Amino acid sequence: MTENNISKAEELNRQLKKNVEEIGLYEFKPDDKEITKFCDLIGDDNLIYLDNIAANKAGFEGKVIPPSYMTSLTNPLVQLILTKGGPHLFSKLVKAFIHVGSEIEFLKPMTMNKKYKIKTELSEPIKKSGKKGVYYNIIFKLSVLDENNIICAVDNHDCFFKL
Amino acid sequence: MITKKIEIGQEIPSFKVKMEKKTYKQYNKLAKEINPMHLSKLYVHRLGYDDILIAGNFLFSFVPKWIIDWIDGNINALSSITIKFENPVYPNDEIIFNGKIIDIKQEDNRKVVHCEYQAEKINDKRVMNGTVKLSFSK
Repeated sequence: MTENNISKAEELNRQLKKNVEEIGLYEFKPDDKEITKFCDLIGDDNLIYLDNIAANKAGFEGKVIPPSYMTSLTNPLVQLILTKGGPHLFSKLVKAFIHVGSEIEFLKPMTMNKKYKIKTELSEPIKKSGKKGVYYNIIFKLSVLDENNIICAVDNHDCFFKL
Repeated sequence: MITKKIEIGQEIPSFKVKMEKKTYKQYNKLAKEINPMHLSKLYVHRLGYDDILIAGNFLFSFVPKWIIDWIDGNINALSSITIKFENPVYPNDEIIFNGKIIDIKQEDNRKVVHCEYQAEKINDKRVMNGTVKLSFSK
Protein backbone atom coordinates (compact mmCIF):
# COMPACT_ATOMS: atom_id res chain seq x y z
CA MET A 1 0.00 0.00 0.00
CA THR A 2 1.33 3.43 -0.81
CA GLU A 3 2.08 6.00 1.86
CA ASN A 4 -0.50 8.18 0.19
CA ASN A 5 -3.28 5.66 0.90
CA ILE A 6 -2.12 5.18 4.50
CA SER A 7 -2.33 8.89 5.08
CA LYS A 8 -5.75 8.89 3.38
CA ALA A 9 -6.88 6.13 5.77
CA GLU A 10 -5.65 8.20 8.71
CA GLU A 11 -7.46 11.23 7.37
CA LEU A 12 -10.66 9.19 6.90
CA ASN A 13 -10.39 7.87 10.46
CA ARG A 14 -9.80 11.37 11.83
CA GLN A 15 -12.67 12.91 9.88
CA LEU A 16 -15.18 10.18 10.75
CA LYS A 17 -14.32 10.37 14.45
CA LYS A 18 -14.66 14.15 14.36
CA ASN A 19 -18.10 13.82 12.73
CA VAL A 20 -19.22 11.22 15.30
CA GLU A 21 -18.11 13.49 18.14
CA GLU A 22 -19.89 16.51 16.66
CA ILE A 23 -23.13 14.59 16.06
CA GLY A 24 -23.10 13.07 19.55
CA LEU A 25 -26.25 11.14 20.45
CA TYR A 26 -28.47 11.02 17.36
CA GLU A 27 -32.11 11.43 18.37
CA PHE A 28 -35.03 10.29 16.25
CA LYS A 29 -38.69 9.37 16.41
CA PRO A 30 -39.70 6.55 14.07
CA ASP A 31 -42.11 7.65 11.38
CA ASP A 32 -45.34 5.65 11.38
CA LYS A 33 -46.04 6.17 7.67
CA GLU A 34 -42.49 5.21 6.67
CA ILE A 35 -42.72 1.95 8.58
CA THR A 36 -46.08 1.09 7.06
CA LYS A 37 -44.61 1.78 3.62
CA PHE A 38 -41.53 -0.31 4.47
CA CYS A 39 -43.73 -3.28 5.51
CA ASP A 40 -45.58 -2.95 2.23
CA LEU A 41 -42.32 -2.92 0.23
CA ILE A 42 -40.96 -6.10 1.84
CA GLY A 43 -44.37 -7.80 1.92
CA ASP A 44 -44.59 -8.00 5.71
CA ASP A 45 -48.19 -8.05 6.92
CA ASN A 46 -47.56 -8.87 10.60
CA LEU A 47 -50.25 -6.79 12.30
CA ILE A 48 -48.14 -5.93 15.35
CA TYR A 49 -46.24 -3.51 13.05
CA LEU A 50 -49.36 -2.03 11.52
CA ASP A 51 -52.17 -1.97 14.04
CA ASN A 52 -52.18 -0.71 17.64
CA ILE A 53 -54.97 -3.05 18.75
CA ALA A 54 -53.16 -6.11 17.41
CA ALA A 55 -49.93 -4.94 19.05
CA ASN A 56 -51.72 -4.40 22.39
CA LYS A 57 -53.25 -7.87 22.18
CA ALA A 58 -49.76 -9.30 21.65
CA GLY A 59 -48.57 -7.54 24.83
CA PHE A 60 -46.92 -4.43 23.37
CA GLU A 61 -47.63 -0.81 24.32
CA GLY A 62 -48.20 0.11 20.70
CA LYS A 63 -47.20 -0.77 17.16
CA VAL A 64 -43.80 -2.46 17.07
CA ILE A 65 -40.91 -1.36 14.87
CA PRO A 66 -40.09 -4.38 12.70
CA PRO A 67 -36.67 -5.91 13.44
CA SER A 68 -36.34 -5.99 9.62
CA TYR A 69 -36.22 -2.19 9.72
CA MET A 70 -33.22 -2.04 12.05
CA THR A 71 -30.46 -1.33 9.53
CA SER A 72 -32.75 1.06 7.63
CA LEU A 73 -33.27 2.87 10.93
CA THR A 74 -29.56 3.31 11.57
CA ASN A 75 -28.70 4.12 7.94
CA PRO A 76 -29.57 7.86 8.05
CA LEU A 77 -27.05 8.26 10.87
CA VAL A 78 -24.35 6.39 8.94
CA GLN A 79 -25.04 8.68 5.98
CA LEU A 80 -24.90 11.74 8.20
CA ILE A 81 -21.53 10.66 9.64
CA LEU A 82 -20.22 10.28 6.09
CA THR A 83 -21.50 13.57 4.77
CA LYS A 84 -21.36 15.96 7.73
CA GLY A 85 -19.37 19.01 6.81
CA GLY A 86 -20.08 18.70 3.09
CA PRO A 87 -19.02 16.30 0.35
CA HIS A 88 -15.33 16.50 1.36
CA LEU A 89 -14.96 12.79 2.21
CA PHE A 90 -16.34 11.58 -1.09
CA SER A 91 -14.81 14.21 -3.34
CA LYS A 92 -11.30 13.99 -1.88
CA LEU A 93 -10.87 10.71 -0.02
CA VAL A 94 -13.42 7.98 -0.65
CA LYS A 95 -13.84 6.41 -4.09
CA ALA A 96 -16.49 3.95 -2.88
CA PHE A 97 -18.26 2.94 0.31
CA ILE A 98 -20.13 -0.31 0.84
CA HIS A 99 -21.93 -2.07 3.69
CA VAL A 100 -20.48 -5.60 3.79
CA GLY A 101 -22.21 -7.06 6.80
CA SER A 102 -23.84 -6.55 10.16
CA GLU A 103 -24.06 -8.25 13.52
CA ILE A 104 -27.28 -7.20 15.15
CA GLU A 105 -28.45 -7.89 18.68
CA PHE A 106 -32.11 -7.42 19.50
CA LEU A 107 -32.36 -6.73 23.22
CA LYS A 108 -35.77 -5.12 23.63
CA PRO A 109 -38.67 -4.69 21.17
CA MET A 110 -39.06 -1.06 20.09
CA THR A 111 -42.49 0.50 19.79
CA MET A 112 -43.73 3.52 17.84
CA ASN A 113 -44.49 6.98 19.23
CA LYS A 114 -41.36 7.09 21.36
CA LYS A 115 -38.09 8.90 21.00
CA TYR A 116 -34.89 6.93 20.58
CA LYS A 117 -31.20 7.77 20.49
CA ILE A 118 -28.29 6.15 18.70
CA LYS A 119 -24.83 6.12 20.20
CA THR A 120 -21.99 5.56 17.72
CA GLU A 121 -18.56 4.04 18.28
CA LEU A 122 -16.09 3.48 15.44
CA SER A 123 -13.43 0.81 15.10
CA GLU A 124 -9.96 1.69 13.80
CA PRO A 125 -9.60 1.16 10.00
CA ILE A 126 -8.15 -2.22 8.98
CA LYS A 127 -6.64 -2.71 5.54
CA LYS A 128 -8.10 -5.64 3.54
CA SER A 129 -7.75 -7.00 0.01
CA GLY A 130 -10.62 -8.36 -2.05
CA LYS A 131 -11.76 -9.05 -5.60
CA LYS A 132 -12.06 -5.32 -6.25
CA GLY A 133 -8.69 -4.35 -4.78
CA VAL A 134 -7.67 -2.85 -1.44
CA TYR A 135 -10.31 -1.58 0.98
CA TYR A 136 -10.33 -0.18 4.49
CA ASN A 137 -12.72 -1.85 6.90
CA ILE A 138 -14.41 0.19 9.64
CA ILE A 139 -17.15 -1.09 11.97
CA PHE A 140 -19.79 1.41 13.08
CA LYS A 141 -21.13 0.16 16.41
CA LEU A 142 -24.61 1.71 16.58
CA SER A 143 -26.44 1.25 19.88
CA VAL A 144 -30.12 2.21 19.89
CA LEU A 145 -31.29 3.47 23.30
CA ASP A 146 -34.80 4.23 24.48
CA GLU A 147 -35.97 7.23 26.54
CA ASN A 148 -34.67 5.54 29.72
CA ASN A 149 -31.26 4.90 28.14
CA ILE A 150 -31.92 1.17 27.95
CA ILE A 151 -30.23 -0.43 24.94
CA CYS A 152 -32.88 -1.87 22.60
CA ALA A 153 -30.59 -3.05 19.81
CA VAL A 154 -27.00 -2.92 18.64
CA ASP A 155 -26.00 -2.92 14.97
CA ASN A 156 -22.33 -3.59 14.32
CA HIS A 157 -22.44 -2.13 10.82
CA ASP A 158 -19.42 -3.41 8.90
CA CYS A 159 -18.30 -1.09 6.07
CA PHE A 160 -15.59 -1.10 3.42
CA PHE A 161 -14.09 2.11 2.08
CA LYS A 162 -12.14 2.25 -1.17
CA LEU A 163 -9.68 5.13 -1.05
CA MET B 1 -42.70 -19.97 24.05
CA ILE B 2 -42.22 -22.17 21.01
CA THR B 3 -45.23 -24.07 19.83
CA LYS B 4 -43.72 -26.08 16.97
CA LYS B 5 -41.43 -29.09 17.24
CA ILE B 6 -37.82 -28.19 16.48
CA GLU B 7 -34.63 -30.27 16.36
CA ILE B 8 -30.99 -29.96 15.36
CA GLY B 9 -30.54 -30.38 11.60
CA GLN B 10 -34.09 -29.31 10.84
CA GLU B 11 -34.36 -27.07 7.79
CA ILE B 12 -36.09 -23.71 7.86
CA PRO B 13 -38.65 -23.53 5.01
CA SER B 14 -36.95 -21.67 2.16
CA PHE B 15 -38.01 -18.17 1.17
CA LYS B 16 -37.78 -16.69 -2.31
CA VAL B 17 -37.87 -12.99 -3.20
CA LYS B 18 -37.29 -10.98 -6.38
CA MET B 19 -35.50 -7.64 -6.13
CA GLU B 20 -38.11 -5.78 -8.16
CA LYS B 21 -36.61 -2.65 -9.68
CA LYS B 22 -39.66 -0.52 -8.90
CA THR B 23 -39.84 -1.71 -5.29
CA TYR B 24 -36.13 -1.13 -4.76
CA LYS B 25 -36.39 2.38 -6.18
CA GLN B 26 -39.17 3.09 -3.66
CA TYR B 27 -37.04 1.67 -0.86
CA ASN B 28 -34.12 3.94 -1.80
CA LYS B 29 -36.49 6.90 -1.65
CA LEU B 30 -37.84 5.78 1.74
CA ALA B 31 -34.32 5.18 3.12
CA LYS B 32 -33.15 8.53 1.68
CA GLU B 33 -30.26 6.64 0.14
CA ILE B 34 -27.37 8.78 -1.04
CA ASN B 35 -24.69 6.18 -1.77
CA PRO B 36 -24.05 6.22 -5.55
CA MET B 37 -23.33 2.47 -5.38
CA HIS B 38 -27.11 2.06 -5.06
CA LEU B 39 -28.18 4.87 -7.38
CA SER B 40 -25.86 5.50 -10.31
CA LYS B 41 -25.16 3.04 -13.11
CA LEU B 42 -22.39 5.25 -14.43
CA TYR B 43 -20.65 5.23 -11.06
CA VAL B 44 -20.83 1.45 -10.54
CA HIS B 45 -19.74 0.70 -14.12
CA ARG B 46 -16.55 2.64 -13.40
CA LEU B 47 -15.96 0.33 -10.42
CA GLY B 48 -16.52 -2.81 -12.50
CA TYR B 49 -20.07 -3.76 -11.44
CA ASP B 50 -22.81 -4.68 -13.92
CA ASP B 51 -25.57 -2.54 -12.43
CA ILE B 52 -26.42 -0.60 -9.28
CA LEU B 53 -26.07 -2.78 -6.19
CA ILE B 54 -29.06 -3.59 -4.01
CA ALA B 55 -28.23 -2.06 -0.59
CA GLY B 56 -27.30 -4.40 2.22
CA ASN B 57 -29.92 -2.73 4.39
CA PHE B 58 -32.66 -3.79 1.99
CA LEU B 59 -31.32 -7.33 1.66
CA PHE B 60 -31.07 -7.61 5.43
CA SER B 61 -34.78 -6.72 5.75
CA PHE B 62 -35.83 -10.10 4.41
CA VAL B 63 -33.89 -12.16 6.97
CA PRO B 64 -35.83 -11.13 10.12
CA LYS B 65 -39.09 -11.20 8.15
CA TRP B 66 -38.38 -14.77 6.95
CA ILE B 67 -37.36 -16.00 10.41
CA ILE B 68 -40.17 -14.25 12.32
CA ASP B 69 -42.74 -15.65 9.87
CA TRP B 70 -41.27 -19.12 10.47
CA ILE B 71 -41.64 -18.80 14.26
CA ASP B 72 -45.24 -17.62 13.91
CA GLY B 73 -44.59 -13.92 14.46
CA ASN B 74 -42.90 -14.28 17.86
CA ILE B 75 -40.57 -11.26 17.65
CA ASN B 76 -39.62 -11.57 21.33
CA ALA B 77 -37.68 -14.72 20.47
CA LEU B 78 -35.37 -12.97 18.00
CA SER B 79 -32.07 -12.49 19.81
CA SER B 80 -29.44 -11.79 17.14
CA ILE B 81 -28.70 -11.95 13.44
CA THR B 82 -25.41 -11.82 11.61
CA ILE B 83 -25.19 -11.15 7.90
CA LYS B 84 -22.24 -11.17 5.55
CA PHE B 85 -22.67 -9.99 1.96
CA GLU B 86 -20.54 -12.09 -0.37
CA ASN B 87 -21.52 -11.12 -3.90
CA PRO B 88 -23.45 -8.24 -5.46
CA VAL B 89 -27.21 -8.46 -5.87
CA TYR B 90 -28.67 -6.42 -8.73
CA PRO B 91 -32.19 -5.20 -9.52
CA ASN B 92 -34.42 -8.00 -10.86
CA ASP B 93 -32.25 -10.74 -9.30
CA GLU B 94 -34.29 -13.44 -7.62
CA ILE B 95 -32.78 -14.84 -4.46
CA ILE B 96 -33.65 -17.78 -2.27
CA PHE B 97 -32.93 -18.08 1.45
CA ASN B 98 -32.19 -21.48 2.99
CA GLY B 99 -31.28 -22.28 6.57
CA LYS B 100 -31.20 -24.93 9.24
CA ILE B 101 -30.99 -25.38 12.98
CA ILE B 102 -27.42 -26.18 14.01
CA ASP B 103 -27.71 -26.24 17.79
CA ILE B 104 -30.26 -26.11 20.58
CA LYS B 105 -29.25 -25.33 24.15
CA GLN B 106 -31.09 -24.96 27.43
CA GLU B 107 -29.96 -21.74 29.14
CA ASP B 108 -31.58 -21.03 32.53
CA ASN B 109 -35.27 -21.30 31.75
CA ARG B 110 -34.90 -20.60 28.04
CA LYS B 111 -34.44 -22.70 24.93
CA VAL B 112 -31.76 -21.11 22.74
CA VAL B 113 -31.80 -22.09 19.08
CA HIS B 114 -28.85 -21.39 16.77
CA CYS B 115 -29.42 -21.38 13.01
CA GLU B 116 -27.26 -20.87 9.94
CA TYR B 117 -28.56 -19.53 6.67
CA GLN B 118 -27.44 -18.54 3.22
CA ALA B 119 -29.02 -16.87 0.24
CA GLU B 120 -28.21 -17.46 -3.39
CA LYS B 121 -29.37 -16.17 -6.71
CA ILE B 122 -31.60 -18.72 -8.42
CA ASN B 123 -29.24 -21.13 -10.25
CA ASP B 124 -26.31 -18.88 -9.48
CA LYS B 125 -23.81 -17.97 -6.80
CA ARG B 126 -24.26 -17.44 -3.08
CA VAL B 127 -24.79 -13.79 -2.22
CA MET B 128 -24.93 -13.77 1.57
CA ASN B 129 -24.77 -15.93 4.64
CA GLY B 130 -25.12 -15.59 8.37
CA THR B 131 -26.48 -16.86 11.64
CA VAL B 132 -29.63 -16.36 13.67
CA LYS B 133 -30.03 -16.85 17.42
CA LEU B 134 -33.49 -17.37 18.85
CA SER B 135 -34.31 -17.53 22.53
CA PHE B 136 -37.66 -18.99 23.65
CA SER B 137 -39.12 -18.94 27.13
CA LYS B 138 -40.25 -22.40 28.26
